[in-house]
Amino acid sequence: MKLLLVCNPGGHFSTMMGLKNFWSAYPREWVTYPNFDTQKLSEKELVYWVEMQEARMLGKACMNFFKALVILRTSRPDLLLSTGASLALPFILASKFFGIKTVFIESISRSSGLSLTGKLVYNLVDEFYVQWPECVERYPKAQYRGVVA
Amino acid sequence: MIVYTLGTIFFPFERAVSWLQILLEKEIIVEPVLFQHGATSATKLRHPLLTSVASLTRHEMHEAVKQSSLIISHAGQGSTRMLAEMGACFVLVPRLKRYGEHVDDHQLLFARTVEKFGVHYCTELDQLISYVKQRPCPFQGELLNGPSLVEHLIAHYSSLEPQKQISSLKLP
Repeated sequence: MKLLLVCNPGGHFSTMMGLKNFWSAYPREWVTYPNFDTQKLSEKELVYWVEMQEARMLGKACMNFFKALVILRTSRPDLLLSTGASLALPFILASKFFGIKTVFIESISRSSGLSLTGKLVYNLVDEFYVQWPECVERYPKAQYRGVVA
Repeated sequence: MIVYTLGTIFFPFERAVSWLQILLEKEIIVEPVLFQHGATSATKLRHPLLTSVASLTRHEMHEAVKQSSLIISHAGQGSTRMLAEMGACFVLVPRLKRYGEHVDDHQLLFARTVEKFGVHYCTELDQLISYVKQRPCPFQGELLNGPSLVEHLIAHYSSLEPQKQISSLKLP
């Protein structure tokens, strides 16, 4: 199983790093944009660098959607895993065109509801994980299976 | 020493910069401050006690936190969890939507959630001043101790595709 790991820098990147015991067992490639923390990633990992896209940047999301189509065609992952945030949307959307399985993990900072990205990808993804049991009540498709330590 | 960090997120956090300026000018802070300003401009802020850096590496941040008597941080989940794990003496200042400091108020909601575990946060300068004068106790215990999602994913996917799994892979 080949993975494509998609995340924004900052807390979302550190969450993905917290999942290392899972993804390190599989062949994998990354999608993120260069930042203080993610820049060093390419020393050890294969990274597709995309446009800086923070929340509510629709134009950048569109550009990254086209990049996503190209990256997914090249990378051919079996599973796309994203810890958010906004970068998840173009890549999960593009995955639908290739029939790639998608998994989204909502940020642990969302204890009482979903992020905008979470709401947007909720109906698109195959598996949707939250890190608070309370979120499952409002979003029945969401699964609570623990937190990313 | 005090570490004052705004995280490395793209949104500016001018309010926190102006608070730091007041704390230094009014001599409420009278010890060296290491200021990680991230994407927020810190050029206006000058003070003999202040060292400003855009970003620290994880290692540098750990070392700085170990040497500090107080850490004042934005309420990002990554920062908060690191500080809690290290048993640091820290206060969170959540970024708020109404000042354009983040897209929504999830940092405030997060701060309210972790408050239940003994984390301190403030939304007003007066509150921060009182925390600087009277330091909170170092964080003890665990912040967010649920079951491990990593273990679930490992079990879930190894049961789905055991034949394709590669135990360790070295990329070229």
